[in-house]
Amino acid sequence: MKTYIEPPQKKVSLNLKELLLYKDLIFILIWREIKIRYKQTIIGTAWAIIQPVISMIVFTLLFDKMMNISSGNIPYPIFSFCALVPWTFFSHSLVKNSRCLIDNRNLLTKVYFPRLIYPLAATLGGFIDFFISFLFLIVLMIYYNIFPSIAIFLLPLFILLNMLAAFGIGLWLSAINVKYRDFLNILPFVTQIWLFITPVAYASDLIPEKFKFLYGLNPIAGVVEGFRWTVLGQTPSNQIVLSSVLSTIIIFFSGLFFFKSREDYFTDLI
Amino acid sequence: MKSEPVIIVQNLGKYFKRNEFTGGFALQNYLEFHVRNSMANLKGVHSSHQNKTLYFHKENKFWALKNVSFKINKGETVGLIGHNGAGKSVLLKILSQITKPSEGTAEIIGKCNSMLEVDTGFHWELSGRENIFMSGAILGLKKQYIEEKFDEILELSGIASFIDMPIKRYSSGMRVRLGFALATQLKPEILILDEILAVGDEVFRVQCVEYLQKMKKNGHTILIVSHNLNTIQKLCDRVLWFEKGRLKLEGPTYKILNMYLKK
Repeated sequence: MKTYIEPPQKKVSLNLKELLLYKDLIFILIWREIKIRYKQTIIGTAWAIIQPVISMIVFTLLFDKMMNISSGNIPYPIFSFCALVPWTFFSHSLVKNSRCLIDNRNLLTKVYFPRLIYPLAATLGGFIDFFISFLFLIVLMIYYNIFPSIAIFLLPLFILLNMLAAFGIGLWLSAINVKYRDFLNILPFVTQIWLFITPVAYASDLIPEKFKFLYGLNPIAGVVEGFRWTVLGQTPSNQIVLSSVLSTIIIFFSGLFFFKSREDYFTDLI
Repeated sequence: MKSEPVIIVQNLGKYFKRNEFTGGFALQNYLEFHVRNSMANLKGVHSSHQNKTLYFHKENKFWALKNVSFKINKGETVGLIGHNGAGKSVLLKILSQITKPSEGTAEIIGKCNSMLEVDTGFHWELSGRENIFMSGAILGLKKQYIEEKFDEILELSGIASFIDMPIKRYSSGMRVRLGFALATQLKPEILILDEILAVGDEVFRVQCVEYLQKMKKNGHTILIVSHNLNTIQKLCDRVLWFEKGRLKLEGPTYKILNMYLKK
């Protein structure tokens, strides 16, 4: 084994092969992420269900009962919950990712392993919450007698899209926050606004046709469309899904390169 | 003596930017500077030079390490000495790949573990047991291996009855003992240590030195920073003396230590 140490290079090399050498560590850090998430809490993992359920109740009272927003042929509670599952994963992932390098400063400055593992573990660590709230979605489907169509087999693709979007944005956020902490302060505000520009509480039909491509540049909009399509059988807007897939790919790869180009300076700046 | 270099450092240097304590460009500082400046102008006083350098001089470099070259041979135990701020820790951080050098290169041949802190990778919310696996994995030990050695680690740490308690409730001594017990399971070809002997009590220090002597006997290469010259004298074949980011002198332990003490 030979280690060669030299000054930061201009040319960014992804060196993703290195990640494979550390795959045990990736699992351990995901496991740690899950372990510490609900340490010293009373109801632990139940929080994973309670948060989206409360949002669902509030949305139902506000948008369904009071404002009569259309949810198509689907009962409003499950209509919103189906979107809250990927949304909650996404918004939690934003918070976790933006802090992942700063919170692990002790590790970052004391031991070397590929820096990419931090945002990767922060993103994948949220998967257990996703899984638990998804189980609740299945309970709701049974309650409302909704049987998924053949499209359900495409759900894994949208789960992947959900993760790639969360991870891609997480790469940007974690790397930026090392030097500029601005995002940490405005993140609650950003997530709040983000929720409004995502079809969680309402259906994407409300968006005028000519703005749909633009609207779909929010990657999570396409994910929500995909979830409603594959789980509830509601016809998605192709334009939104298409532009979300495009923007996710762009965000992911640009994030990867940005993170890689900055990582040599993390320990000096954090 | 057959010499086979395992660490080759060539012309290594590392600088930090003094103005980067602000984290880079900050709008607030920028505005503050201009407001203060114009206020000063109004009063007819020229703004101090110092203020300007703080925010605007891009080339305000501080070399923590400069022009350092040396070789370490297989099986050698080498001590790094020097006052605070001499660049020892930066050097170890570069060799551990934690930070990148600004110039020069280094080459490490063989499996290398560095312990810049005894409780590397410990998470305060996790129990001692969980941390053994966690930290072990971070340091590159296989899960199965740790399972096999678990009882041994537990016995050496001497805190068996607290093993399922979150380590945030441990005393600092307990954490150090646990970290050390785990570290003794590492068998890298090259071991890099930063001041880990400074944290425990006398008993702990003796244990550490014994462990290092055993490592040394088994042919491991050790690079160690310590302010405890006794330890250095006991362990090291050779000493590198750092001063103000430069390698001042290197040579046999007794010779360098004598000169170091006289100074």
